[in-house]
Amino acid sequence: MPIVMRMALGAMALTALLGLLAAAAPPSGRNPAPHSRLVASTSPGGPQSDERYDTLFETRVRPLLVERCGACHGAQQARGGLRLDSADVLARGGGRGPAIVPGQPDKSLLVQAIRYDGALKMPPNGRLTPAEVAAVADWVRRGAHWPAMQARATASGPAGIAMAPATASTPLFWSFQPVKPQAPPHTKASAWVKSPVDAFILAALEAKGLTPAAKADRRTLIRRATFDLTGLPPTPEEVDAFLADRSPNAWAKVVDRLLASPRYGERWGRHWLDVARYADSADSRGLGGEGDISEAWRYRDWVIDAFNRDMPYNQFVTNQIAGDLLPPDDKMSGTIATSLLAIGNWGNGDADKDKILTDIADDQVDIVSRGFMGITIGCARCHDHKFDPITTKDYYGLAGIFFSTHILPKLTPKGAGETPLRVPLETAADRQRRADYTARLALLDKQVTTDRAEALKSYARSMLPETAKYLTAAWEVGRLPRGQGTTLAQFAAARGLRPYALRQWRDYLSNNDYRLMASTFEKPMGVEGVYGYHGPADLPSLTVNTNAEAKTILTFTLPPRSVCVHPGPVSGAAVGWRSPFTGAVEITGGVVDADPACGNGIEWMLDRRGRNGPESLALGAFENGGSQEFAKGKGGGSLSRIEIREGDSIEILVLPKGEYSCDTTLVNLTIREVGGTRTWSLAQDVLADARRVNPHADRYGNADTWRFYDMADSKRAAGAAALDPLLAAWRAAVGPLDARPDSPAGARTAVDRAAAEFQAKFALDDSRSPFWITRPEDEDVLPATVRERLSHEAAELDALRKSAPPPVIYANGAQEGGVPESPHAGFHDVRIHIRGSYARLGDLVPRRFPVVLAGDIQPPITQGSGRLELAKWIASDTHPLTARVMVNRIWQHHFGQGIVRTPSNFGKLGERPTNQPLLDYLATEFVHSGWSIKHMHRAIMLSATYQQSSVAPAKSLLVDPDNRLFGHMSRMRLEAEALRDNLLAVSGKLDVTMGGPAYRDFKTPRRTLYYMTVRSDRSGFGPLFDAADPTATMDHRTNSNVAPQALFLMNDPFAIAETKLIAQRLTAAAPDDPARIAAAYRLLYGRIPLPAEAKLGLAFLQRMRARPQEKTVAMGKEASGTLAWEAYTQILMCANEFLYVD
Amino acid sequence: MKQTDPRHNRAPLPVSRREMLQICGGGFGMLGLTGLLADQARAATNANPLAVRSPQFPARAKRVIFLFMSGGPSHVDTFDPKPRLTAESGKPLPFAKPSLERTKTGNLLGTPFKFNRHGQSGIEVSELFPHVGDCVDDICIIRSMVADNINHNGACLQMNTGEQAFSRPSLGSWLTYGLGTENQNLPGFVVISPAQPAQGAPLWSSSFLPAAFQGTLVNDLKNPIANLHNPELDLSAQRDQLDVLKQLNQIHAEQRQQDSQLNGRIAAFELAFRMQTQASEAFDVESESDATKRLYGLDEKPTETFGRQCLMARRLVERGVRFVQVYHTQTVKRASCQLWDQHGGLRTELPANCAATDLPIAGLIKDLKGRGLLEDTLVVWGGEFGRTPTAENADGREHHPFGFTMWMAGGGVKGGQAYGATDEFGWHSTVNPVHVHDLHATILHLMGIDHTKLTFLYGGRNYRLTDVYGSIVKDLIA
Repeated sequence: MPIVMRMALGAMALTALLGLLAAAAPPSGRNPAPHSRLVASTSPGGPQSDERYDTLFETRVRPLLVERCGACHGAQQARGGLRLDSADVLARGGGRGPAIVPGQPDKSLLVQAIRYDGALKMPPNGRLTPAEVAAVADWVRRGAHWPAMQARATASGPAGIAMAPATASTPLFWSFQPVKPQAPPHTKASAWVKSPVDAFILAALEAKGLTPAAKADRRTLIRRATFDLTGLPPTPEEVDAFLADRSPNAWAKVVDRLLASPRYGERWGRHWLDVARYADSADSRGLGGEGDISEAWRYRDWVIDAFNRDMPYNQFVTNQIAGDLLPPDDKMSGTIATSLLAIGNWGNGDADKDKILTDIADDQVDIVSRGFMGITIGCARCHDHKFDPITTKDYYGLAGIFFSTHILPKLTPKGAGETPLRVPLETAADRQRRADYTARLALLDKQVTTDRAEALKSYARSMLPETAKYLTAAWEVGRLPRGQGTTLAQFAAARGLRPYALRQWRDYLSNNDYRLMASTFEKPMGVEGVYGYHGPADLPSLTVNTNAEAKTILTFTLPPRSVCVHPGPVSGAAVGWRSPFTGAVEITGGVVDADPACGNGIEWMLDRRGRNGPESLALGAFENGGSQEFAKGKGGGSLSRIEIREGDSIEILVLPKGEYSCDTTLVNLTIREVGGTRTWSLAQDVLADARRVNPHADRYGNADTWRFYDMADSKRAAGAAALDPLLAAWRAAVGPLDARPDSPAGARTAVDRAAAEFQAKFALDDSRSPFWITRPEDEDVLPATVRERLSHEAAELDALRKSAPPPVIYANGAQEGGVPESPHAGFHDVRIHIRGSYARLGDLVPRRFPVVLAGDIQPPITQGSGRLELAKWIASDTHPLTARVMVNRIWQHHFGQGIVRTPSNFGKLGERPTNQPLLDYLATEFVHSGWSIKHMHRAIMLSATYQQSSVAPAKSLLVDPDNRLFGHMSRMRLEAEALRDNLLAVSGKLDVTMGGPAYRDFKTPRRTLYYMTVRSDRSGFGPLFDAADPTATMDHRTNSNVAPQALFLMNDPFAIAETKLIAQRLTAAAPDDPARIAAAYRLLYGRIPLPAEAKLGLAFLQRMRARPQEKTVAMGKEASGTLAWEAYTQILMCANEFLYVD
Repeated sequence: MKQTDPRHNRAPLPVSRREMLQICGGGFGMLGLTGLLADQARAATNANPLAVRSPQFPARAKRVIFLFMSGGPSHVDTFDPKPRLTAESGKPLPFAKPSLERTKTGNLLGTPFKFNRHGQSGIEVSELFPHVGDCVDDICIIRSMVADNINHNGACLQMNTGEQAFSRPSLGSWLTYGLGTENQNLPGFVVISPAQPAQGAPLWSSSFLPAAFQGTLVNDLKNPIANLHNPELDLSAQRDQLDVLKQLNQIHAEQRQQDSQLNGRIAAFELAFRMQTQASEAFDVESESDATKRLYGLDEKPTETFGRQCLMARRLVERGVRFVQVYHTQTVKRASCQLWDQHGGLRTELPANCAATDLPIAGLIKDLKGRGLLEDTLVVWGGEFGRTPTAENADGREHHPFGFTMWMAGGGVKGGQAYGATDEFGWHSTVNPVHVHDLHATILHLMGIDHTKLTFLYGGRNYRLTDVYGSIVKDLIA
């Protein structure tokens, strides 16, 4: 029963600890340091602080004693008379005497026993790790302090420590107490007070003998409000309009206008996305794919829309926790909202699947508790929370809810990555409509296919009497000397034959059952110098990397200057070389698996294809990551001399061995003319002229030498090279003639006879027939009526296709029940994971909410996961934290700091509110307004507090240097998004298209929040300017000031391009420098330049124009006004005024 | 003041490193953060997060070069000789199969490579590392490493951040957070990896620490730092811009109260201007002598890339960069995030990897030593885990975190020793196990930091690199 015991101990220790901490915390003065770097060290060997001391005990010693010793030395059983479950019984010891001598580990029996160095070796079933032994010894050396014992002693009353008794009457920590409605306090300078907010602020200031800052001027105000609510600068026209508006509600009108702008939701949605650890892609390369959160952007758009619609915040909360369970009319958006739970950051692809499930639940507990309630429950995953009254029971009560929820459709096999759930978003009616449509489409499609097949069949049948004619013609075409200029089309025309049929008969005769890769591509994924070929499907393909370095595309890597094939999952790819001469060749080379990380190895075959079809020269196979030379394959010994005739081919077939996804095979093939000087190297010939279409010429001027084949549907791979008996007979008949190309007339008769025999037996009228039309462009041979009917049907089908219902959309959302087919499938409570380990399970905890917030008596969760209940509880009007946490976040983004300066931590380690009455007033107001966020913006922005100048009264700077009392406005730096958006706005290039999948090209002039965020990529613009790190929830951005930021503004191509656009705008706006400078200040800063500023500008422009500009001259540009203006604009754009808002 | 374009008037290299540091670090005061109040610390962090901060106690090492062989180098084929494994090659594992296995555990597979004794210490090193073997008297081999995660992602994260699943600051971020960096013209934490390393940025992320402590990735060895050159304006024109900018910012500041952020930004532009010339110089491997280039193998194709990376690392630490991590991700044949992941190709790929890195690593150690830098530069070698002593397929080994090898050199480490041991087959770490947390604690200790006292309050809790774990391994320290 160690678990029960541990819990009992935990609860005792905790209550006592809490009391201690509460007593130790100053009433309102200095709060715990928000950042502590190297904590001042105590003198070596000196006593440790209680906290440090207890941490060691609670995290390392107590769990050990419970887990490894408790079963035999606990309350239930005390072997050897020893109990190890409290300090006094421990000190008393057992049959062998005291177990410990505080301060002297070497003399302590307990330590000796666990060191295994005496007669007594404990635990008997396996020794502790050295680190564990060290922890216990360390604890004993420091005096074996047992927090629970001390707490009990303290509670009984030693002097000097004010200790609240651990009873029900203990006042709860401020944030766990209900929100108390507050009346605005009385103030002296009441004329300043414009709103209740002001009364709270002024009262706090007056209590310290302070006065508010002066009111900011109108230009400052509109700039502040516009950035604040939309993340964009006001236009000069908007500034002028506000300056001109003398009506008493001019300011309120500005606020309302901005709140109504769609840009508002983008700005404030982004603030929430910081909390939501939003990313567009979890994949390390941002390429999407199955394992990625490719639908995350729908959640981003949902958030933006929620802000723009002013969705009541309680609905905003419930949707994100349990939107999929809300009434059906809301279902669509609700499921998208639950993406909050699905887009978390946990170790995808771990072989340890139990770990993945616990990590996912942990991520969800964390985001819900910190995001909505501002409490850190995550600590209680491993132990009772050290500072807040949250127990492991509370944690696993909540975790049970998330273990009964799934965001993965299933668990994949070991080592494979998990695929996030994609929840289809459609109503039953939609589903029915789609099913009907699909059925109709299938029907028509089938009819069209059948009719066409019937027409082609009938045509192929009608051509059968022509068989002999085509056969002989095809045979002759094959024997035409190369390079004499007669094309197949000319030949057909001369004989009155259909070119398509002649071509197909020729191919039929050569038994060429591979398809040429007819499509070409270049720069796949934007990679320069890479070219390729593929057939009807994307794979198989052949890729040529002409670069001197390796290039990585998607998942595969192309070695430098190489030709690689990439077979399909089941079908192979082949490279053929057609011999331009008759003689003998030596074949060398081999194949290399260029991508050992993927695939299951390959098989290869080297064939010679003569007129009798293919025959194998050599073949081989190897495992993933291997390579093989042709000479080492089966039959490879003969490759030094292979007889060949003109027109014959050497073909290397690369075939998937097992599964061949994301693999790359480097092909080296060199063919040397035996007794001659010519050498053909695949890489050399193809790299020399990679853009050439397939077939590819060689460097001796022979067209058609290299051919790249798609082997889909080929029988060769299966080894079924057996020839059609009919063809075999034909070959046998004409074969000997081949030896005598200048055959006499008699031979000709033999050919005709063989052809007639062939025709007599040839009756194919299906797609195997060479008369079967395979290309739409050849269908013009069909009778006009047939063509008309087919084209009419095709048009009908096309029209039906175009009327397709919109594609099903999916969300990366959450659904009820644990991961199907996993140990957590369905709904159930979970056991405590001792020290966070799923391998050590403790008591089963009913699904419920933290006791300190929801009380001891909670209605049991009996149906479903409990997510809906959780959502409703968090979003209830009386929840002590939810409204407080959100109004604080709103306040934080208006003033730079929250009233509580740790916005996601309202617990003991968080900061206390600097003005709790104000916080509670706002929270009450928030709930009363129907949880309207826009109402809160108005309540804040219409106050005199918000309209203060950023210049503080001198006394405030001394008394309240951190502006905790909000006695002036804090200057704010534009965040990464606002900085880039500001550039785009003033350059006039901003494209305000909303929503949709993230864009990847940084040059795209859309708002920055739509720019791709890749979780594992911390390079680039966002991280440079402190954008939210999407790997974890973030409540406050850092504000770094580093040189690479300056380098970006000085030299980055994007910054320079924007500078040029702004400069163009300015030079076009006014005729001369002084007027342009005025325009620049108006556009960039919303004001008129000071004379000193204008003077600096004019002088700079003059100097720039006079300066010899080496670089620009070299670029052939005149160092004229353009460059000077660009350089000047750049200064203004780099200046503090551009980046900071007062 | 007129400033000449350094391309035309290249300044000679300063006489000593110390002098150069003084030149480069000029204008930035040394701050000992221990005595600062939290808010001041935060202000300092915002103003110049990378300012030098003194360690908590005298440091043995001032900077670190971490050579990361991602993919998991096999220990029994490199630094942990196991005669019994070789003797019983082909037999089944003589103890219970592990409970956590990725694929079915195969039979024992002895190493195909010979081990040779090196140096005065006579420590055995595989024939795959002849040059590193020559340096063994400077090296402390840890043969008893233990990690917790069996997959690359989790294990790489743990080796770099201490945590397996969630986002945490990396070792380099913690070090630059704790100590700042000595050269204000360069990033404090540089990651050199020509191809994408496993997992990507989370391995050098600052996570919840301020972004300034994040590693700067250099993947293009020819153009290491972004935005160092303006395509149109020359330096003197940019100087003029900055002078005007400064005056405009002063006018702006005069109308406002003192604001460290605003002042900090002026400093950042000045620093950026200096970086334009000096950062290029720091990365300019080509300016090294031919002898030095040969020492690192720059003249041979197989060693050229990694040699370049190592030489770049030396140039950076020499110029005061605090932490340089060098990922081996590219050989002549291929680029991969997991070059050392020999599920197959043990007899071909592993020797190729060793051949690509052996000479450059030895060159780095010798070069650091020759310049007197080795004594306070800590060199760490290893991957995220080792490989099973058992076979996977005919020619490969599986992932193995339960007992593997890493080594350290310089920076106060006791060289010429092989510390700890795995069992006779190289499976479990049995003698003096060193967990990843212990390694981290020891590295921090060598850098003058108590790992339990370098903390950051985030999400309601003081976080450390070592979480609640980690013991300093005193025996590794000279």
